[in-house]
Amino acid sequence: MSPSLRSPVHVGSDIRLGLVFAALMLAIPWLSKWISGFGWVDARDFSGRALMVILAAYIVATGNTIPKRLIPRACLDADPAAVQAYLRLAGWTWVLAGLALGLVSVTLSRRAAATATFLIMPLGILLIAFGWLRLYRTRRPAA
Amino acid sequence: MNRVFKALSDPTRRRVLQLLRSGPLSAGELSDHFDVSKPTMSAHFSVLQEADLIEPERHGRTILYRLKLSVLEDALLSFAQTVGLGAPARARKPSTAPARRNVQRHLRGAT
Repeated sequence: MSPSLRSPVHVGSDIRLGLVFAALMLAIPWLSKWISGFGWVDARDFSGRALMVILAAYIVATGNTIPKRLIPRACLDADPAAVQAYLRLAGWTWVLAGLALGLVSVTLSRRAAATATFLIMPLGILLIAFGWLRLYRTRRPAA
Repeated sequence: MNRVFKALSDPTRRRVLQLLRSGPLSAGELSDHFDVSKPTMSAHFSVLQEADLIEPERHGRTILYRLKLSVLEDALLSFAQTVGLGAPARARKPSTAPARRNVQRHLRGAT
């Protein structure tokens, strides 16, 4: 079976999403400086946490669409059911990693959040890489 | 998003999505799991396609349907399935042929 290559890659919406998050990330230092002027929050702490939350939201947003959009070309020779299972695994892993990143950025101290971030993200990437390797092994031999 | 909710509100369509979780299936293979007419199944497929939850792929004379759920839609499907929105999907009825044969035999014996 030859999986469809018509799967829409919504380039326009991807660029829009990237621009929105980039604008938010640029606005955060300015916003935190402005808020800290009122003496409500520590500018550095707020800025760091807000940036991490925005990054986490971006990871969740991109992970959400992984099963819907990406059909890796290298997978085209693999079993379609295995490709589908891999895309689901990758999407769910990325979304859960993003949610965990957002949660630790909000709840933990900055130092603990940084440590947790360096555990969560590599763990997610490793899981996706492991899934990829498993998928690679199921590829059909070239005719 | 309205289209997604509409698509997920029907138990038959949810069952179709669940069957597709194990891998792409043809329209005929999917229809075999339900006791509904082909036009009805076709209408269900159309609703799912409109909501961008499945994608058809033509392979010769057969149409294979592939699941196309985002993570959020996947979670919504699981939630709807757990809560059990709507009536359960009508499963294929067991064949009535043996029962019919018994009735005919009985009638023949009676005459």
